[in-house]
Amino acid sequence: MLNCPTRDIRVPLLRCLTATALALVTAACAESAMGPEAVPPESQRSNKQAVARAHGKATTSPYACFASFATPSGPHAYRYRYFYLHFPKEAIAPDGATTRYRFRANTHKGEVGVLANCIVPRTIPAVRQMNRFFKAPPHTGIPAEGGQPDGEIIVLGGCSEDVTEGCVIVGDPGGSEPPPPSEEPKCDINTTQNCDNYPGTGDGGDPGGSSGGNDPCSSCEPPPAPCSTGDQTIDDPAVQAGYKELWAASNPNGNLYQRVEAAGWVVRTPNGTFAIESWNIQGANYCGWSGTPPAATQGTVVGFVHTHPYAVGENVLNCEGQVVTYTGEPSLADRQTSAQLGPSYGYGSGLPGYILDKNGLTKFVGYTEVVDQRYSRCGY
Amino acid sequence: MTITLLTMLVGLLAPAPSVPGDLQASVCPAETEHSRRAVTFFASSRSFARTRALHGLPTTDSASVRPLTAERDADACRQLRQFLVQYRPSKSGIGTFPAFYTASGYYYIYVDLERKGTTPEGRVSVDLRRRTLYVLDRDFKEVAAIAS
Repeated sequence: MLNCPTRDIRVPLLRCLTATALALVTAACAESAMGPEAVPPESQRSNKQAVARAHGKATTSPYACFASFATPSGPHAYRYRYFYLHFPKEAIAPDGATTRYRFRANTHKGEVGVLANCIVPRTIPAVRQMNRFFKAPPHTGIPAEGGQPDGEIIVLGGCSEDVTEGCVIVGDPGGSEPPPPSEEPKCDINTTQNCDNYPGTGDGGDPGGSSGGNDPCSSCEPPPAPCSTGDQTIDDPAVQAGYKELWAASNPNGNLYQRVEAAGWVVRTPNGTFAIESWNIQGANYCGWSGTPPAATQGTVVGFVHTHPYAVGENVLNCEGQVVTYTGEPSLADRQTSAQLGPSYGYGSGLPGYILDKNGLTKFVGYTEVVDQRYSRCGY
Repeated sequence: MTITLLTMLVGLLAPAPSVPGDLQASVCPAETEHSRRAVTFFASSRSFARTRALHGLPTTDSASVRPLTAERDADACRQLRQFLVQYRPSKSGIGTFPAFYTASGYYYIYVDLERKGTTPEGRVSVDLRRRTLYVLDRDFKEVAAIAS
């Protein structure tokens, strides 16, 4: 095992840093020749690494990393890997809270050597374990005042020009016994295979984005299929185009703080077709939006649509900044809004509402559940 | 016998526990039409059947959902308040307005948000911000925390 130079290198903020990415750290681990040898062969890899391959005989876990490794000597510039992570029980948050642990190490040429995007328990022991794993300074991401780690931890590694000694990123975490697998898997990172043209295990020429893509716990973004639901509003091509725009505006592959709900009117135009008029809402954040939408100009309002850029079962943030579960149903606030808007547009029970999430599309009307229709995802 | 009589005498002479009426009333926060509708819909509707099943919650007759009151449920309200303070403190500083309910042996806390802002003439404001519904069991242990 090679030792990492411990010289701290302050690296400019990556473009992935957001206002909520609070933990800027320096890296202790530099690398020089991050080739295939940087990932030991399966047989040589110690269980002490607390890492299991996602494929093959690996034990699944709700915690995982998607990582890109530069392979200067290989046929492709980068190799991609999923890794399940396992933590001892004491490192699991009682409420299942997770945090995003991102790691990036540059080569001495300033190119991306390793890029990892991980979901880990939002606990100090877990972050410490990750720090050992990536050979980051031990206090990285650990709040000085105690308490819970931040919702996103950015670990920037880099190489200085004078690095002559290589180091491996995937290394011995410290000689302890392998921790047991966690008990309640909450996501299946296998579902992220082939997302964004970055296969779960494969090769390519790009390390992948560091701004939220390749999330090991988010579902894939398949090409949208046209809607054929039988609902003339949903099936209208112009409406689907509007859905697609709203969905893109929601930044669905961003981290929880970066995703926002987008909304618009569904209008019937004078020529009988339908369209979406985006509200272009300002001020939306991770917990939603409130305000006065603009008046529709292209036709008669027959509904309203908004996005929930989440997957069913995903942990999301409520307005108080706590982790809660996204269930996929129209929220009680959505129903209230539908009921509230209804009388203004001639819909006594509620203005029809449409919700787009990562799993599907729901039509609902106020609190009248008999109208609820759930469709497979289409058009966006 | 002597002890019993003495105990009774002390009981008669000792002042009754004094709980100001307003304090007692505030133990259980006031419900709103929206909070009741929301909790009732969650607890009884088919729309939330899958989520209820996911958390092992029963489907409840909407009529059996009742708000907690200081007169009947002061202790439970204190426990629910304690739960919010201890386990689910607001981190955002946003104004929150909890309402407490019970049904089928579970406690429900619906955390509404402060509604603010005025509506321009002739326009309807909307509020799509995510609320939270907590469900606790008889022992005040959290069963579900649902974004809603």
